[in-house]
Parts: sequence; structure tokens; C-alpha cells
Amino acid sequence: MHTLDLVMRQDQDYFPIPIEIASLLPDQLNHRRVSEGVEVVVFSEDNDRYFIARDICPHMGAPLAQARLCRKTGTLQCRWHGYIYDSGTGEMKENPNDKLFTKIKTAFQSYNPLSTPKYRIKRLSYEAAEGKIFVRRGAANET
Amino acid sequence: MKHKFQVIEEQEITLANAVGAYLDCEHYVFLHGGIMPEMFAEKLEGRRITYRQGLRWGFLRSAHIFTTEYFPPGHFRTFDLKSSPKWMPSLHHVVKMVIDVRYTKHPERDTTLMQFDVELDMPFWLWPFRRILQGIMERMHYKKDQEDIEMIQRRAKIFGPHNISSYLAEGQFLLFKDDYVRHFGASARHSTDSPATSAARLL
Repeated sequence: MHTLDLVMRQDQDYFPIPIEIASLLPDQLNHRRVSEGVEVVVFSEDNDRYFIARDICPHMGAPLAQARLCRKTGTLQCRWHGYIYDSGTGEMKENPNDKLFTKIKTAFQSYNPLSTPKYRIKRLSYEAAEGKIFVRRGAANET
Repeated sequence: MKHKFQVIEEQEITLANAVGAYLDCEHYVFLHGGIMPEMFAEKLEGRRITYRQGLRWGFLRSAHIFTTEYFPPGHFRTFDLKSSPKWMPSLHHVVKMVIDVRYTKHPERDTTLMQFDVELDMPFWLWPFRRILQGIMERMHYKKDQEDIEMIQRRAKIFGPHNISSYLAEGQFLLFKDDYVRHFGASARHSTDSPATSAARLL
């Protein structure tokens, strides 16, 4: 094991299991475990840049590993409710159900569409070195 | 000629989550896309909603219109199924279906009893095929239920088995949400974390 690998694995700021860059399939979501009980999704954005996030949809907790990644539109679509996220910023772009249920969406007092949170997939920051990605605990785009 | 059948199943989920998932129509065409690739709400009258739904059996596709009535807290009756458009050849021209799905709390455990009752009113010449129809309906219902249970159990693992805050949240759309909040809102007082909060905490 390389020295850097050893140092990173012992660093409490990082999850202990690195992601092997060579094992990542291009143009699709890769599902990896970075710690006991912690799973992430990762895809390569371009050379040396990666989108990494917890395997949890911020809306209802769906596995993002089952989401549909579209490189052409730059979106991720959750499999459970179809919510569409920007695959760069992680911000929610569209709820396709608004069209499917538009005729009945205003019928219930306890539903207020204006209070729907702006869901966002939080990107995890990382260090890439020696063919491995070391994922940092905490989110990159957290405000 | 009437053919009736029933399926009763104990599901390892809470009643509030079972009913919440049924009313959470936003997942229908996505999670259950394999059996219902299209679905639009056409009309709402009281506790009755009329849908137009596309169905898929392998390579075959069809569409139908139907009405579902909600009897709170956990009973749903689906009836008045018609093909769409009307001229399209369909079983609905000759078979009348009434489907009742009831969710009740298990009397002894913190689980849910799902009762699926179907009544098929069919002409005599279809009678020999009643078991085939029953099998298709049971399989479709089972597949849909398994997908729902998988979703609910994952959410229970992440947010807690009694956490229905995502269904109760003001910004989340549910069918007949006012009834749902009235019946299940009080029992969820102890679960205050929204999924977004819980997910953020997990980071």
C-alpha cells in the first residue's frame, strides 16, 4: 500500500475506503461503498472531475444508484418519483408529476406547492491521487 | 357470471406508510413504470378520482380509464374501467371489474394487513379463462406491492419506521391529503425529521 493511501485511510476527514478510478464505468452512475453503511454514486464529468454524492435522493430517500443519468441533458432522474436534478449542481430542475396531476393538484388544503423545498443532491468533495478517489465526509456544495 | 377472489397478506410496514405510499401518486409511473408507464388524473369529485392509465404486458400495450374512490383511512375501491379510446378492443367491453384494496393495522403486531378483493363480472364464454385473468391480476398487484414495500422499507431504514413526515410535509402532494393528515397526522407527532434533514444528518 502506498504511503498516501495509508495516510488518507487514517484521516478522519475522509471515508476509509477509496474508489478505484480504473474501476469506474464511463457515462454511467457507479455505485460504491466508501465506509461501513455508507454508499455513494459517482460518475466522471470529464478528465479528473467526478460527481460524487450519497446514494440517497434528498426528496424521499430513493437509491440514486438506480437513477437515470442523461449526459446529453445533464440530468439525473430519480427512479421513485421521477424528480429531475441537474447533474452538475445537484439542484432539482423539474417535477414531471406537475404535468401528470395538474388537474387535481390544487384540490387539497394541506398541500401548498409554494412550500415545496428546493431539493438538492449534495456533492461530496474528494481528493484524487494515485488512481484512487478519497471521498471527504460532508458535502461540497453545502451552504 | 361473477368470479371473485381475494388475497390477504401481512406486510412488514406500518399502516400510515402503506396508505401514504398508496396516496403518493407521484411515484406511480416511475417506480411502477414496468406495469403502468402512463397515468394522468382526469377528474376529481369528492373522494373519487378518474384516471387514464397505460398498461404494459410484455410487448402488448393498452390504456384504460377508471375511477378510484377512497374510504379513509385505508380502503380504496376501483371501478368503472373502460378502454381508452372507446373503440379500442379491450377486455373492459365484456368484463366488469370492481377491485377493493384495504389496508388495516395488524391486531397484534406493528404491521399492516393488505386485503385485495376482486369481482369480475364476465360473459359465459370467458368463464373458462377466469383463472388466467385472476393470475394476471394477482401478479400485477403483487409486483406493484413488492415495489412499494421495498420503497417503504428503505425509507424506514433511513428515516425510521414511523417517520411519515415526508408525506405530511406541506410541500408534498398526496391524493386526498387532507384526509390523510386528519387520520395519520397525530400519530406522527414524534417523528419530526424531514427526509431532507435526515439525509443531511447522514452526511
